[in-house]
Amino acid sequence: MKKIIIIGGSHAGVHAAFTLRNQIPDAKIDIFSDESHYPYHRPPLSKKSLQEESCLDDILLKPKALYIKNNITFHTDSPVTNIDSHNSVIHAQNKNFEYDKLIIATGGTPRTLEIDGVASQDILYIRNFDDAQKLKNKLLNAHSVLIIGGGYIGLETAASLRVKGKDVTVIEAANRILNRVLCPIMSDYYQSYHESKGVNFIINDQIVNAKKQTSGYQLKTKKGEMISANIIIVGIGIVPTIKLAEEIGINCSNGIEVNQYCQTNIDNIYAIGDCSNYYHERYGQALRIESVQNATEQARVCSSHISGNPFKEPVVPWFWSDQYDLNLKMVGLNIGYEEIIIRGDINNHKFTCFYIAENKVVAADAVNSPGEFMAAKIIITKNKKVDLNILRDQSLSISEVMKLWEL
Amino acid sequence: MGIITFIDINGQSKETIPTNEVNLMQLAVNNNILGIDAECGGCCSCATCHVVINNKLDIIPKAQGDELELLNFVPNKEDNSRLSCQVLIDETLNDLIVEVKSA
Repeated sequence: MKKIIIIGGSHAGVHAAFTLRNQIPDAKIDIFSDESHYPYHRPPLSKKSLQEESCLDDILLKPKALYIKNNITFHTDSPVTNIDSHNSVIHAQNKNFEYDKLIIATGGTPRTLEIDGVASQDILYIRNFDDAQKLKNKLLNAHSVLIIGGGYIGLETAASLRVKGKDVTVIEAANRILNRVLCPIMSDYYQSYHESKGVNFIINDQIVNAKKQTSGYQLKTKKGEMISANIIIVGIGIVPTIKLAEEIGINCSNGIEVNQYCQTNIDNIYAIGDCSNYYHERYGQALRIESVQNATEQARVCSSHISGNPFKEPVVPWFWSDQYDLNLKMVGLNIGYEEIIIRGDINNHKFTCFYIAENKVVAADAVNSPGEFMAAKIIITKNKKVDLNILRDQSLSISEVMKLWEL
Repeated sequence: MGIITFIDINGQSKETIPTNEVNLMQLAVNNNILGIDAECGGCCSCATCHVVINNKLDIIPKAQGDELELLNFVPNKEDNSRLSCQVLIDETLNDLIVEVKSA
């Protein structure tokens, strides 16, 4: 009987456990998590569950009973302290647990920020259920919120808090919001939409220090602006959790290095999800991608390798973000794009931005356009050189475009 | 509440009994039905919960709006394709047969 240990109880780890259960009915499967909760959907933490009354049961990945029914042992409050790869054991709960195959799915922790004059416990982050609960409690007596970081977490949180009627300021160090992931047109579009909903933006600036006030802080920026806020939330990315792997000589660089099967350089040890720097054959390079879809894809790839099922290359990466009534779905990676083609109607908030490189569609951002998103997924996967004038012709539907391209 | 049968991606059939699930996607996830990935958690974003329902057509409405837009580009789409996260469960679904399709 194969003993499989999974370190980390979130999207990647849980998906691997249940996939493996289907593939290897008699395997012994244990998941170790340092959280006290059973695994839950993380995306709603900055969206729906911030806006509404909700409890953990509403967002659980699987009901607790399903772990028992599938003979998957889930260890809560059980951080793994070290791995001994020579003897194939991990150490947790002051005991050793043996493995035949080990999957590291430790994810990441929010990149922290120190602000001169602010006590560290007064800086809030949103990664775990407990973080979100702490924020919700503080919001009860708060009116004004400063969000540091204009990425997805920051902007989704800004939208959720505007819906709740809070005064929201977002400060971004770069010269535009979402600059790591979207083109300038999309950044402008999202900033304008947030501004129309009442969010105040400070771009290309940073907080330098703060003074405590009766309720919250008075903060000063590098350019000399002053902001008053009852609550400070930081969303400036995550740092992959790689300590356990690094300690035993697993190669790490921006995450745990793995090949296309999710194997590390040490036998029988795999890494999946936000913590892994995965070699993508499609892109000819290693990439660390933070998304639910990436986590479940790698869980599938790694499970198939362990159970001896055939390898199926991961589908092109895709992501989603909900802000107000805007549903954004992104597919592909826009690294090195040369041109943008917009289809649809920006003023009506239903449009898609296609990223072009070498006469191919390499990525797309679809706002309130699920059909164009699904079509883009197929187009990008086919990776074919195409006549771009066809895509520019707005009188053609996306299905007609695909037909003309023989896709 | 009666029985709802899923035919999973490998053709295996499995009978389930809803307890407090709101939609068919949740019922499938809670019963570990193979082929329902439900990556987006049920917000009609991912089309990884594609099913075909060929019985009880009189009470199962056809897909529309965003759901239909997503389904139009899903491989193996059939006339009676639905995203299971958009099919609400009530007692009229007793004896329903739900065929899981790949996303």
